[in-house]
Formats: sequence, structure tokens, C-alpha cells
Amino acid sequence: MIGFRLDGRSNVVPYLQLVEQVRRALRTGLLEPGDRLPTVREVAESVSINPNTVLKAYRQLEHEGLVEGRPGQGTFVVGSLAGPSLASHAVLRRELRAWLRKARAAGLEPEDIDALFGTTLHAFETEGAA
Amino acid sequence: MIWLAWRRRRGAVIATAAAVLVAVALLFLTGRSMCSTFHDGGLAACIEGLGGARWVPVSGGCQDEAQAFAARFFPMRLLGLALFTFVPMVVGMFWGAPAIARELEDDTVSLVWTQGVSRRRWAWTQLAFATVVTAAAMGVFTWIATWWYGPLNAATGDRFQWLIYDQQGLVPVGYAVFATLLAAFLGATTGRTVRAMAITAVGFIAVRFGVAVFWRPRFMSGLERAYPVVTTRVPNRLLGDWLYGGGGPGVGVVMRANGERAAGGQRVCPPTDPACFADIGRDAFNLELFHPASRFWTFQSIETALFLALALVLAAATVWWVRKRLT
Amino acid sequence: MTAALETTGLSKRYGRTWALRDCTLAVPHGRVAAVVGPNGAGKTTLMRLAVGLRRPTRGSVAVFGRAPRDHPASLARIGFVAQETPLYRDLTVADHLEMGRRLNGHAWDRPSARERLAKLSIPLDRRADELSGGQRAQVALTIALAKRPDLLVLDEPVASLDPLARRTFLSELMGEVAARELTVLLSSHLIADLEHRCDYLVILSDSSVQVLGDVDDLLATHSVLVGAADGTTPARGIVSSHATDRQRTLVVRSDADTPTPPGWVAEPISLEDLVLAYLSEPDAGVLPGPEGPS
Repeated sequence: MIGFRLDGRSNVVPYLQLVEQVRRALRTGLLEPGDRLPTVREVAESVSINPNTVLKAYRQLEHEGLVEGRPGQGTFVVGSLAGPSLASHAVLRRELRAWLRKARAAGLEPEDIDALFGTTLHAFETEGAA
Repeated sequence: MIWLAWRRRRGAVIATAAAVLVAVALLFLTGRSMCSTFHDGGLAACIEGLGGARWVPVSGGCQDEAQAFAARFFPMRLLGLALFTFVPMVVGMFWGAPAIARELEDDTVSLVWTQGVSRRRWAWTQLAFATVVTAAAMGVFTWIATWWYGPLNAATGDRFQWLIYDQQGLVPVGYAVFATLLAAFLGATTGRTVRAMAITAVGFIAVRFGVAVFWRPRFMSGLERAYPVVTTRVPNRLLGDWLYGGGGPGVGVVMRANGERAAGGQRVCPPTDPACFADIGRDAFNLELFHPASRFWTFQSIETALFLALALVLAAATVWWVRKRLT
Repeated sequence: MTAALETTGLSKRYGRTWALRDCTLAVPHGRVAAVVGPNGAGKTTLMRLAVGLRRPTRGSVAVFGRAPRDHPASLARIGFVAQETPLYRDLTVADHLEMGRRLNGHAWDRPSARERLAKLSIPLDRRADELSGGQRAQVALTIALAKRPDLLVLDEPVASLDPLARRTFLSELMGEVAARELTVLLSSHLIADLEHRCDYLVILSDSSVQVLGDVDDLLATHSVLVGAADGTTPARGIVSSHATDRQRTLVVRSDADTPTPPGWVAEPISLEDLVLAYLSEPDAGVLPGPEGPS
């Protein structure tokens, strides 16, 4: 079962943080279609936040077609964000680790790597769109 | 709600019951010795011999035996007077003052007034509980005190007198209930238990004094009794009539034949002693204003009802205060 | 639908002093409303008026449409925990539960109350005056919750709790709100505790309502602007302003679409910063418009 966390310092509004955590779990395969999300009550208690925030998050996920609420049973994952297969994830992860080792060996700090990746991704996407 | 009232003051109920038991035991033991002296010493027989006669010889109406008995138990009478007088007030204050005030001081009203019970029901229950315990304790105590006073009443004829009357019969219960509700009312209005007790003491004494001295003699119209100064027969004091008027409490006046007041008190002169009545004349007479002993229980009932009525008014005022005025 | 708690021009005077002046608010159902403000601002008075422990000098207060003081039936739907969490000193915890059961009749949930106390390791046979401050607060809250109230009014409920106990208390409160569409009115000095938990805000200052509204709306319409000390001052609604010799920090209120003025950097605002900004500027305020409280 997924566990939620709230980053009080983040600029992102709480309900969107929850939404993003579900999305990330879906992408990494931590959550699969058919899994049940924790109840609104369980999340409100464990994260210690207003249940309306959790409701908003679940509603947003439902709106995006990722989850479905079944009365009397709970909220279930119905959509998927996982890539083609988890296997390709594993391959990509291995290649990424190798590249990271090279970058660190070249003297880049994590912030530099982050900036490099961010700008390259951005450029790649805009090129792709054009 | 009753359960809560009981649970909160359970310790006090037990302490009160224990105190009553101790008092009953003490009174029983001391009273028993008085009783046996009364019978064995011959005073009981002597009084029975008088047969409730209204007039008795100047000497020979058991006066000597009675005085001897009264003198022998004088310390006991004094102790009784000193202690019993305060019992109704103390019991009433102890039970009445904290009834509302304590919960205001502790702010437990924030807890109990936000449950499903109305202030009215809460207030009446608090008052009723305190009153019932007070009445029960004082009822038992008064019952044993009345029994205890039996021989002393017979030997002194003082049953109807101020202070003696106040400690037996029915009125102590009325006084105590009045004290309870007076203390509760003051507790509710001042919000302080100790302060309520202090003001209750003052108020209680003032009201008791006022009623006893100014009102009690007027419960019914008194009877007049006149008898000559020169006489061999006098009224039987041991019957227990209440002489309340004339020269001062408990005594009458001595009047000349022409209706002029000669002196206060009572004068009895044997016919053989002219010097005794030389200054007032042979035809002088004694005048007394009194309530006959047979009215004792009527008076007790009237006064008890009076104090219970006062108590009820105070109770209603307290509940009104709690509901409407208490913030 | 009637608001859970509604006041109209509610005022309370003690002797010559006004403890609360002309307070008009409406807390909708199912909200967790925070009442904040400095000491003496009227928080406790407002809460006590809401549960019928005080009589209004002027104006009115209604809980689920009825004045709580005149309707004991309304009291059955309200749970209240006062600031000092008063309990009956000589009574045990079990006695207090028994009291609740007897005074609240059918709506008393004994099993959940016992379960809650067991989870908190509070022994039922302990006398109230032998409990610690935190345990007393938990017992008081248990009693209030066992009534299954529809409105829970808590006056500084966590003031006497250590940080872990505070977190536990507030987490459980959030759980209860989730379970039963409970409306909560809660006051606290520790504004950080209210962050992410409260969705309705009442700021009381000097016995009057200074700020009133939905937390999401308030946070969306306020932001922190940071800029140079000698830069141009924005034209829009400044709530508060702090300056060092180099830098100025403003809290401003505006519509969501208003662009950041040049030379300033905008940051989203936390609830704590928003409250502090208003508390430091008593003349500023946010009150609902003529259409009435939301």
C-alpha cells in the first residue's frame, strides 16, 4: 500500500503533491491497476492533513482517469502510467547509473547534473515539438 | 444525573453518615444514663403522680426533685446547648455551599453543561441531592436529640423555651434545609464556596433570630393567666408551657390590684407572711402571657413549614440564577 | 444548507470591557475552522458563546440553526473541550465515561471511547487529578468524541501536549473529520499546527473579526513579494511590510492573475506567514463582501 508524505516547504499545493505521488508510484510500478488506494481517512490520519485535501487529490486522479471510486469498497487504480514495460525501466535505469558515474567522475556536482539534465530535456522536448 | 451527584460527593455522604452515627452513639449512651437516673431517682414517678395537673402546691409539685436532677445534669445541658445549636447551620453550609459554587470554581460546568443535560435539570438535581442528604442526616440527629432531651424537658419544663425548642422536634430539619439552600444560593451568586459559607452564617443567624424572637410568639394568639400573689398554688411549670410575655422572656409581671405594674417576674407569698406582699397589697396578682405546652408540636410544624418555604423560594431563585443570569 | 455555526453581530461584554464585538461569521458543514489571534482577542469568548456557556450581550449565535443556550437538544450535537480541560478531580477516567453515557443517552459510543483510551495507554481506573496534562486533554477529547457530535469545539486543545502527542492528537482529529463529516472549530496559538489541517480561517484581533474566509482562497489571493529596499512599491494591496537596509519583504493581497511587478520576486505564502502578517497590521483585514460569508 502506498504511503504518502507532505513536503511543507514545497511550492506545490498539498493536494497536487498527493496526486504527483500517486502518478510517480504508477510510473515506477509501485502501484498497478487493481490496487486499492488507502482510504481518505487513513491518509488524513497518517499524513495529518485535512481530509478535503485528500478528497481533492482523489477527485483529480479520478478526473485524469487513473483511479476509480467504488462505493463501499474504496478507491482503486484503473489507469496506468508505466512505460512499455518494467523491463525497459530496468535497462534504462542501468544505463542512467553508468552515465551518472561518468558525470561524477568528470567532476559534476548533483546540482550541475540536475541543471544539465533539465536544460537538455527541455531542449529535447522543444525540438521534438517543432 | 443523580448518579453523577452521588459519585461526586460520595466521600462527603459517607463522612456525614459516619458523623451522624457517632453522634447517635454518644447521645444514646449519655441519654441512657439520664433516662435511668430519671426513673431510678424517683423523679419520673413523682411527675407521674402529678398527673398533668395545671396547678400544683408551692412546694410539693416535684420542684425539688426536678431541680436536683437539672442541677446534676447541668453540664450536659450546657454542652448540648452549645453543640446542637450549630449543627443545622454547619450541616447546611457544608452541603449547600459547594453544591453549585464548587463546579463554578473548578469550571467543571464547562464539562457538564455541554453534555446533553439542561442547566435546569442539573441545578435542581444538585440542590435536591444536597437537601435530601441534609434532611436525612438532620432527621436522624433530631430524632435522637429529641429522645435525649426527654428527661431534661420533664425536669425543667423548658421544652418550649428559646434555644431548647430550637434543638428538638422538627425545626432543626427545617433550619438545616434552609441553611443548605441559602448556602447554595449564595454559592451560585458569588461563585465562591468559602465566601458563601461566611455570608450564610451571617444570614442564617439573622433570619433565625428574627423568626424566633419576633415571629414565633405570634404564630398564635397567646393565652393570659392570672393568679394571686398570695396563694398556696402555682402553675405547674413542669408541664412545659411557654411563658413568653410580660416582664421579659419566660416570666410574667406582678400587678397591683388596680392594674398597675408593680414588678417583673413572679411573686408568690404565703398567707402567713405579710411582709412578703406589704409593698404591693394583698390583692396583687401575677399575670402571664403564655402558649400552653399542648401547642408545642403545632408551633414546631408552623416554624418548620416556614423555613421549608423559605428554602423552596431560595431553591427556585438559585435555579433561575443558574439558567438566566449566570453568564 | 444551514451553516454548522453561524453568528450575527455577536458581542459579549463583561462589565465595561467588550470581549467580543460584532462578530459575524458562518462556518459551513464539514470544515475544520481555525480561530487564531493574540491573547485576549476573544477566542475563548467566541467558543464559549458557541457552546452556550455564555450569553450574548448583543447579536446571536446558532449551531445547526438553533441557539445552543436555549436548546439542550442542540448541546447533544456539540462536543466541547475547554482550555484547561476541566475534569472532575475525584472521579476516575471510567467514571467520566459513565457520566458521558448517562448524560448523553442514546448517542454515546462507549466501545470506541474505551478503545481510544486503551490505544493511548490511559488507565480507566486512574483518578483525573492523577493524570498528566496531556492525558487529561486526551480524556476530555475522548469524552467529546464519544458523543458522536456534529460540531466539535476545541479551545487550545494541544497547548499542554508535547510535540509527539500534539501530532497524534491532530492526526486523530483529521481521521475523525474524515470518518463522520464532522465540523471542527479549533483555536490554537501554534499556527504551524493549523497548516494543512484547517480549511477555514477566523482571525480575531482586539475583540473583532479581522480576517474571515476559506484557507485555499486566502492562500491563493495572497503572496510574499521580495525585492530591493529602494525598489518601487507595488500599487496593489499591501498587508504588511518588513525591510532591512537592503531588502524589503511584503505580504500582498491581489487577484490570482495579477502579474508580479518588475523588480520583485513572488513566493507562495504559508498560512503562518499570512496570519502573522495580519496580526502585525491590525488595520488590515479580509472580510466577506455583501454577498455574505461563504
